[in-house]
Amino acid sequence: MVDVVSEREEPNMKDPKQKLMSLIRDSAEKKGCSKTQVSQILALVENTMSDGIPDIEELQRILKSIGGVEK
Amino acid sequence: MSALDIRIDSLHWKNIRSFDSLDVPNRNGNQYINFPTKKTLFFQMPNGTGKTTTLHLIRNILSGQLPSDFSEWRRSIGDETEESFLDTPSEFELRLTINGEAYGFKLHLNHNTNEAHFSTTTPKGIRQDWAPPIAFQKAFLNRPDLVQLFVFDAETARHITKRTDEKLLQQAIRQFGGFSTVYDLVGEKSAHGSFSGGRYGTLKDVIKKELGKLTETGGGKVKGWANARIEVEESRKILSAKATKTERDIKKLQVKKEDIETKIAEIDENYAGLSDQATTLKNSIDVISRRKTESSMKLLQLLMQPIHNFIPEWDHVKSFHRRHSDWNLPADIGRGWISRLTEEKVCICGRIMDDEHRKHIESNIDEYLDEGKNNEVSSMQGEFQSIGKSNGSEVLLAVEELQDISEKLQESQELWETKFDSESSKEIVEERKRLAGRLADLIIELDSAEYIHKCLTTTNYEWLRGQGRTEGLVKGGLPTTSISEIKKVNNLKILEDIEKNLISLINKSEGNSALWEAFQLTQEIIGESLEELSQQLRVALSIKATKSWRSMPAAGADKGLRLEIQSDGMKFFRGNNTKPVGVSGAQSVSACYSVASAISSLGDINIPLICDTPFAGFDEGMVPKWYDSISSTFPQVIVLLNTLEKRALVEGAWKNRAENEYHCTIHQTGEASDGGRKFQLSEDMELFLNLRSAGDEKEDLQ
Repeated sequence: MVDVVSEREEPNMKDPKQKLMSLIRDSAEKKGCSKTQVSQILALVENTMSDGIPDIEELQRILKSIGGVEK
Repeated sequence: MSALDIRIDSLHWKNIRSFDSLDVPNRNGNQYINFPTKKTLFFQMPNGTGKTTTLHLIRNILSGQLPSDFSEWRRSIGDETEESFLDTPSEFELRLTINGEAYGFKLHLNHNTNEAHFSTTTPKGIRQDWAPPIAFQKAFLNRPDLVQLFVFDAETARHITKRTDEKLLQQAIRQFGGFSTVYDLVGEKSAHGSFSGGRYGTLKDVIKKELGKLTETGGGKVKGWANARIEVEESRKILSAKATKTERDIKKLQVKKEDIETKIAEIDENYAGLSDQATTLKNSIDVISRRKTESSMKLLQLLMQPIHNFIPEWDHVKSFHRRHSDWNLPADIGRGWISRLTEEKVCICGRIMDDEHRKHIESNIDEYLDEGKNNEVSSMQGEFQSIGKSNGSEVLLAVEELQDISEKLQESQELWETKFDSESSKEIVEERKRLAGRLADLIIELDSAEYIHKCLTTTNYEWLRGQGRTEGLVKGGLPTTSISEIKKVNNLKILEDIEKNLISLINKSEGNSALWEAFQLTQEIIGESLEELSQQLRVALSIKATKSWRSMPAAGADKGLRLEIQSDGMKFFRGNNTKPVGVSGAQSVSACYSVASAISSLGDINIPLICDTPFAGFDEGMVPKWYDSISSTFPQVIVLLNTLEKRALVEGAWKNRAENEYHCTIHQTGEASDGGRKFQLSEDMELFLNLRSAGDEKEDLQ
């Protein structure tokens, strides 16, 4: 019987936050976001991880700014 | 050094249960003494002295959560037959070294006012609240469920492996991975694929409230769309309630099914134990069942290869790929094919095609056709050149093998049933038949409930089309805007898409689309990335935890077992089989140790393991393996033992192992001044080795 565990290399799990940022960057670029939009989305996520979630007014302001940027 | 390095220095009880005043280790006058820098610390605490209470107190302190009811922790006086309690204030203190700095957390309990509060001794002075460093707060504040992974008893293992606590590991991964607040931002992915709740959920409510006003003030179409959106909300309430009810029904049916399967297995096990012949037959059925699973997997793998599926057409498939073995893809599957996508109403990714999306596809064709991807395609196509003829013989052989094994299995099962019927009592035979009948009924009920649930929650539109259940989607797959059509919808994902479309239409008409477009786009990007990360981490942690689990008692002896952390909890498998298997209590406890250790490594956190009577359910010979694996897995381990477990430790893992660690005994020395029992700490090795409890004698007699 094939041992699916011993055959597999242990994936690198260090720094999940960085991994998340990289997944978001790839996904945003694939969806056609501009460089400015990608930076704004990454900043939203990074600030959420370091300082907590923004309040409603702040989130509205950030999203309006992201939506207002030309792709 | 790790991002968070935690070590326990000492513990202190005052007027809690059996203890009037107790320090571990003993103080030197008023001066605190820290534990020696040994890896494993064994506390011998006879039954009834407060192991479980201590575990709860530590959990409260680590998670910064005040207990709501603590009357049971009052100082106890009298004996077991006539126990009474004092209302004297209680205190429990846990001293820790966090990232090299000393902290002392004290929990104060006032039984007269039923008030509790914390105080913290920090490197900068005493604070009258719970005040660990920020990194510690981020990891544990108000997360008793996470703390439970490291302050561990048999109850924890049951929670982790039962359906009732399926979200525990998922939350632990998010918390230790440091990205749980991002879920708090975008919400949770629902069964029907969209994200709800979180700060985005609140913002969506704000947006919808604004749109609600348009049902009165909007003109023409806008008013109609606004009213249709209200209808979506009503329909969603009804469908969500149906989905929740069906989900509850499914869980109940699964529990009933597992219960009956266990009862049937118990009857079979009991019968198998009656004679050598029955045991041999039972073992043989188990072996053949495993062979059948392996054989089915082999056939499935063969059928997944195109060469075995396109037998008459194989030469055509081969010549097609040979012709296109360079990386210049023909127009019909390259640039032209992608370009023609823009002529569709709905993109293959599911988005409704608008001008923006069309422009995006046109301007990114070259990226989709990049050199790397084409080289991959080219290399795959090159493989076709080396593949010979397809004659289907391998599949036929695999089918014959599977049929042969299935026949043997059926014969053995029939033989088993005949022997079982003739050699068991009439009552047992009838009970087994009754259970088998009930099981068959339950499987039908479960299938039916699962089908209803799938119709309500699936995100697979192809499947829904196959079932003729795409109410709410008009020609071309576009979502409807008609109220009467919305009323017919039977799927939550379709409703979600209808709502998104309506909000987009309204916002566009009102010249206010920036917020809504960004809302949808960012929620999808961030949400899907979170789900991808969680999935990758679950896989990585499952592999890491399985490797560690196999080095531990119980699981190591049972070759080929593996554990998987899935989105709905931890499951166990044997080999590459996909059907979960049951494991013993000892196996599930050691699986939890492995998972706890793997998850803490995720956040680069060094945290001690504190476990209460860890050998419960262990077979003889497992204690030394437990000692070796646990002491190498965690940076510090505190083990609370009763006298019986102490004996198991001494008999199993003493010489050159546990004898070199820290040991202490909390033992009764007489009566305290308040009339209750007086307990003291002793680090005397002879006392540790020789202390026995009344219950031990009973165990000896058995």
